[in-house]
Amino acid sequence: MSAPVDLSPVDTAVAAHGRAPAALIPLLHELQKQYGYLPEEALRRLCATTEIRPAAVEGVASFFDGFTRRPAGRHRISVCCGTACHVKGADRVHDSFARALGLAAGEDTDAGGLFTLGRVACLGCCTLAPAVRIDEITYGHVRADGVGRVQRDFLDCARIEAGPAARAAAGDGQPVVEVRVGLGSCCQAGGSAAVYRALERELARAGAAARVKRVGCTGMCHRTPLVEVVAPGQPPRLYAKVEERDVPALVRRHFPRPGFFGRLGGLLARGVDRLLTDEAWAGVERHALDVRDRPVADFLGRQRRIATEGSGEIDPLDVDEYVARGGFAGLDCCLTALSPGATVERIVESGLRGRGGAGFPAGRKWLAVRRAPGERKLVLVNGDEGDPGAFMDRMILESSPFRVLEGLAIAAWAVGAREGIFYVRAEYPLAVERVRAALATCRERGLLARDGFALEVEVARGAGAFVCGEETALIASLEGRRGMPRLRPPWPAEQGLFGRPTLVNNVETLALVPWIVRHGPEAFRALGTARSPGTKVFALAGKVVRGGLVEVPLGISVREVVEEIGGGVAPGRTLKAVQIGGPSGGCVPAELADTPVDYERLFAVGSMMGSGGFVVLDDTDCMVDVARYFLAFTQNQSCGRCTPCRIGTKRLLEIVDRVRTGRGRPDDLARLEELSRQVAASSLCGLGRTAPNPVLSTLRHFRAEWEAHLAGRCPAGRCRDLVAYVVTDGCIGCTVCAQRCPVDAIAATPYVKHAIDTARCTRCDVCREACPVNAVEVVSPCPA
Amino acid sequence: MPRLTIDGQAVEVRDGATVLDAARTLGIAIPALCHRPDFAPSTSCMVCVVRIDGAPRLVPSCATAAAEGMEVESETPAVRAARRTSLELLASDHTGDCVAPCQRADDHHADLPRFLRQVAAGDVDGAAATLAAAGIPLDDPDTIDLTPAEKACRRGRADEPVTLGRLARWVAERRRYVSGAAPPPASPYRAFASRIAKLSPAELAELLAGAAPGGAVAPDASGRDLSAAAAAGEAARCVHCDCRRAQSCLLHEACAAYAVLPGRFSGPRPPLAIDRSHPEILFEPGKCIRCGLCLQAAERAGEELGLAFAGRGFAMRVTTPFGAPLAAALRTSATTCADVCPTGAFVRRGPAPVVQP
Repeated sequence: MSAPVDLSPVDTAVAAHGRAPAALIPLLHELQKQYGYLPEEALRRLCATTEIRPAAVEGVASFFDGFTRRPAGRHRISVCCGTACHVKGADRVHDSFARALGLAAGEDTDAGGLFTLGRVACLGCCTLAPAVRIDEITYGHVRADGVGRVQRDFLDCARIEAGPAARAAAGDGQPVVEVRVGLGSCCQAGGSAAVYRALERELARAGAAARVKRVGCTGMCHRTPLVEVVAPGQPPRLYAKVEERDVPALVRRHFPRPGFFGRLGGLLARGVDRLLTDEAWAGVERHALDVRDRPVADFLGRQRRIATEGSGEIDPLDVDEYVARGGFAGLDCCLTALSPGATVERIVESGLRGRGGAGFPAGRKWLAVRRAPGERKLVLVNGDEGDPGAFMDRMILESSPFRVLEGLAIAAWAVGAREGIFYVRAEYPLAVERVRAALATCRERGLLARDGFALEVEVARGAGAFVCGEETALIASLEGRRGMPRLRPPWPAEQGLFGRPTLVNNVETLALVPWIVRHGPEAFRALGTARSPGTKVFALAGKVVRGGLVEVPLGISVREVVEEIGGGVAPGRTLKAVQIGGPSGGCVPAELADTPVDYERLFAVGSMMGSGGFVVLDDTDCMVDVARYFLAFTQNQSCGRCTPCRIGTKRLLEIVDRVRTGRGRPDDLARLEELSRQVAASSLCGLGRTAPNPVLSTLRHFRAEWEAHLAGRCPAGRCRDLVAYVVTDGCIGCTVCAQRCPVDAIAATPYVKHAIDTARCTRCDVCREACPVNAVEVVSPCPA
Repeated sequence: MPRLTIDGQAVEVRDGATVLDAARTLGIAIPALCHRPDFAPSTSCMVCVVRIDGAPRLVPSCATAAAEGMEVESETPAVRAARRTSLELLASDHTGDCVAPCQRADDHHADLPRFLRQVAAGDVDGAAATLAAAGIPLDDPDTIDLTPAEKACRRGRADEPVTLGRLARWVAERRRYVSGAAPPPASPYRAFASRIAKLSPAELAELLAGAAPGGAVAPDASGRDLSAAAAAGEAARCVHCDCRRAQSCLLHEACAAYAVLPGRFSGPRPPLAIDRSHPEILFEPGKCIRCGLCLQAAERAGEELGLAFAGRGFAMRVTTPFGAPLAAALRTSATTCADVCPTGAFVRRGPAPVVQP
C-alpha cells in the first residue's frame, strides 16, 4: 500500500476555481502542479466536491498531453520535436537521453525516479534547435553526444530566475543609460537570465548610472542572448551571443570605474579602458553588432514591424513606455471618436485576414458577432499556437502583451462584448505570466474600463492539445470538455462559448488591430498585396544562416525571405525547399522560390500560409522524412472524433512508414494520393482536412524522391532504415568514433581504418559528428 | 419551411430538419451509423456525408441543417466514394467475424452458434427450428454431417471442437418432424463480411473465458446417447465467436450496400477482447466505432459514473471512469447502451437473432 494522498490541495483548488464543470481544466492544472501527476484519490475527491462528472474527468484528463496519471520523475526532460528541431536531429537527442537514463523501450522514467523523459510538440525556440527543456530551463543546440553535459548542468545549476523588472543603479540624477537584455524564451534559453543578473551585479559594482531593462524578443533569435546598451545621445550598441563571463568587460567598456579612471575623460578613458580590459575586451568586440553591420541590416531591413512593433526596444511590462509609443491611442480613438460600427468598418476596409492559419477575413467575423443576437458576447484570444515551428504568438505575448490587450479591447468594443478570455498554450509559461502581469497593470490603471466601457478579461491556459487551436475545440475545452471540434455552422459568432456569440481571433491578428485603427485601413492596405494586405510574422528556421522571427509585408517572395533576410542556406549546401505553414502546409520547392508569399499564391503551389512556420530545407533533408514528420504530428494530435481523420491519418502514416523503411508496395503512392484526397474531403475540421497536405505537396513536387524510397534508396541519406554509416579511406585511425559510439558498433584499432558494424549501428550520427577528418559517410541504399 | 434539392429532386422540410431528414423524406437512403434522431449528433462516422452547393469539402448530413435553396449531392460517384472510404477505414479498425467460421464452413450455412446457445439453454424446439431453417434434414439424423463446421470450429484451436454433428443428431432424434422454413433470403454477407484471419493465443483465451471448460463431453454410460445435461454441457463449450448483432449491425449493412473491400486500407487490427463483467451485457471494444452514443445514453440515464472516451485520436476508446467495472459504471442503462450501439460492441446477453450467412 502506498501512502495515502494528502487531499487538501484538492479542496484549496476547488475553493480557488469553483465547482462548475467549466473549472475542470484549471483544476486539473492545479492538481498536476501540486502532485506532479493526477492521483486517482484526488480526482475522486474532485468529483465528490464539485459538479464535475467522473466521466468528464476521465475524458479530459486523458485528452490533454499536459496531464499525467502516473507519478513521474522529479524532473521532466522534454525534447522538443518541433520542425526545426526535427530536421536538426531531435530524434537522436531523444534516443541519447533514453540511453543516458538507461530506459528500456516503453519506459519514460529512470530507475531512481529522478528524470522523466518525454517529447513536446514544440517549445517555440526553433532557432535554438535542437532544444530540450528540463523543468523550466531550456537548453539550445543540444547534440546527441552532449546530453550528459546538459543533464549535469541542470543538476549543478540552481534554477535561474529573472531578476526584478528594472533597477535604478547608483548615480541618481544623471542621464540614465539603458542596458536592454532580451528575455524572450529564446534569449532565456541562450542564458540571458544569467547575463541579466551578471549585468545587475557588475553595474552595481561599477556604480554605473544605468538601469538594466528586460525587453522582449528582437526576432534575432540566431544571435541570442542579446544585450543592447542605449545611452542618451549615442548610437545604441548591440551585442550578440553574450555570455555571463563577458559581462564585466562589457560593463567596463561603457561605464568606466569611478575614481582615477573615471575622472579621465573622452578618449583617454577609452584608451585606458582598453588597457584595463585587454583580453576580455576582445571577446566582447567579437559579439558587438551594429544595425549598420550588413547581416543585421539585411535581417531587419526588409522587415516591416507592426504586430511586433517595438519589441526588443521596450520593456514588455512597462505600460508607460507602451503608451509613450502610441499604445492605447487606438483604443482611445475608438472610445472617443469611432462608433463600434465604424470600428468594425475600419477592420473590414483594412482587408485584415486571420493570421491563425485559414486567413478568414477578420472584418467579416467581427461583423457577424456584432450582428448576432445575444446580450453577453465575448472575445476569445486564441494563443494556443501549436504548429511545430511557429512561435510568433508566443513572442508577441511575451514582448507586447499590452498591444494584444489593446487589440482585444478594440475588438470587444467593436462587436459589443464586455468579456474577454486569453487562451494561452500551457507550454508558454512566460507568455502566461506576462499577460497576467499586463492585465493587472491595466486593471490598476483602469485602462480597460473607461467612459461606460468596461472589459473583464480572464486568462486561461491550454493543456497540450494542438487541435485546441481550432476555435470550436478551444471553446469545448473552455467549457471543461475534451477539446474536440464540432461541425460549423453554427459558427462561434452565433453560438460560441456557452452558446453566447463569440469572436475568436488569433494573437497576431489582434496585435495588428491597434495599428490599423491608429493609422487607418488605407495604410494597412498599402502594405502587402490586394487580397493579402498587411504584414505577416514568420518563424524563419531550419537550414538558414539567420533564423528568427521576421515580420514582412505579404507578397514578398519566398526567395527574398530565405536569402535576403535569412542569409541563405549554409555555405556548400543548396536550397531544396521551404516548408511553409507547418503541418497544414506544404513545401515550396526551390524552383518555385520566386512565389510571392500570400494566401492564394501559396495555396496554388500546394502550400499554405498556416500560422507562419517557415522552415528552410537543404539538400541534406529528405522530403519523405519531412512529410512523415508532419503527418505523424497531426495523426498524433487528431482528436479522434471523425473516421477520416482518426483512422485515415493513421493508415496514411502506416503507408508512409512502409515506404520510408523500404517495405513500400508498388501501388503505395497511388494509394497515398487517393486516401489523402478522401481524408481532406471528408474530415470534420481543419486539422483533418489539411493533414494530408504535406504528403500531397511532396508527392507533387518531389515524386522522384518518393519513388527512390520505394526502390530502397533515400537520396538525402536521412531515413535510417535505408542508409548505412561507413568509414572512408580518409580515416586516420584515431578511434574517437569508436569511443563515442554508444552501442559499440565500431571495431577500432589505432592507426588502422575503422569499420562500422551495420547490424549493430543505430544510425545515431554520433560517429559522423565526432570524426575529426569527416571520414564517416552515410550511404544509401545499404550495401548488401 | 426550407425547400432544397437532393440529387435534383425538390423537397420541402420543416424548420430545423437536417439534410439527412430531407433525404429520408425523399426515400434517398443515406447510411448513418453514429446518428440517432433523439441524440445529439456525434458527427463521427462521416458515412452520411453529402456535397452541398458543389463545395470541395463534404459535410455530414446528419448535423447539417436543411436551408432554403440548398443543392445537395448524395448519390454521386464522388460522394459514394467518400462514404465507401469511411466505411473501409472503419472496417480496417474492426475485429470480429460477422459470421462464425462454423456457419461459413457448413454446407447449409446453418446458424450453428445460435443452435448451440439454444441447446445450452435446453430449448430443443428452437434448436431444431434453427437447423430446419437452413435445410438440414432432421427426419434422417444419420445423414447429418457437420464435419466441415467442426473442422472450422474455433474451440478446436484450444482443445477439441464442439461436437456439432453429434449435437445436431441428438436434436434430430428428438424433433424429427420440424419442417424446414422458407428458404432464407439472399444474404448480404455475400457482399461483405468481416473476418478474423487468425487468433492469437491471448485472443483465444479471451474467447474461452466465455465457454464451459474442458474437452468434448463424453457420452453417458450407454455409450451412444447424451443426456440432456450432457448435451447442454457440450453446447456450452461453444466460444460464441459469431457476432450477436449480425442482423442489426449498421456497419455491416452499410458495408454491404457500398460493396466495401475489407482489406483496402488494412492495418494492424485491434485485439479481440470481451468484457463479460456485466450481468446484462457484453462489451467488445474491437467492434466499437467511437460514435459515443453509449456515452450519451449513460449520461442521460443519470449514471453516477457512466462511460467516457479516454485518450485521443487513433488511441481513443470507450472506458469507464477510474477503471470502474462495467457493472458499477452502468447500473441502470446497460441495455440501453446495447440498444443504441450501432455495431456489436455493446450487446445484450442471451441468444441472438438468426443470422443468414
